Amino acid sequence: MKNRLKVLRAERDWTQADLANKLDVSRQTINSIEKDKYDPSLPLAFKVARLFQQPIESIFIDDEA
Amino acid sequence: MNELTESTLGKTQMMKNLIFVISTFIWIAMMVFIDKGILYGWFSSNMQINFLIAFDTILGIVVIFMFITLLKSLDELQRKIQFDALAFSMGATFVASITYSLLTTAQIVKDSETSDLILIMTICYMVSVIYGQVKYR
Repeated sequence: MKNRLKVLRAERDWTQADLANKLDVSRQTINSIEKDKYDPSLPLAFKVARLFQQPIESIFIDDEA
Repeated sequence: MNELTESTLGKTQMMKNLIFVISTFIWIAMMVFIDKGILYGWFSSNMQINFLIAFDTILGIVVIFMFITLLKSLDELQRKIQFDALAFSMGATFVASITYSLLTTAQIVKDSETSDLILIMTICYMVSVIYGQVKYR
């Protein structure tokens, strides 16, 4: 699964640590999601969508769709 | 403010990890002490031995609950790394114990030691956690 986390974060001029703090996860988690190494859980994906005020499907893109 | 919060959270997590590591170390050190004590006759009475074994068992149970608390305090990726490591170490120990049992039955290995299996489990767990940390760096 691809995602636009890095782009959205860069638009707001946030560091990975800033985003991790806002989402209450580790910086390692943010880095792994941005590098497509790890797919977040549904609750975390919704949290990301709420934080960026965008629909979940505009942030996380299913490769198989 | 964010940096301060992150730093405080990081320190709290580190403190939890440290307490867990120290508790586990005390539990294992005590287990070794009791084992060697019985073997070399360091204890004067059975009452003393029973008390130490009971204390070590209770400490072991406390360590289990501390580990559960530690897992709950981790975020989802860190928890995944821990669960993957637990699954790998459990599987490896299961396979090793069956192989060990067969080798004992075939009399290729004479004395089966539970501590060997615990050692395998510990090494597999540590290697798997390190692998996970490197993979999701």
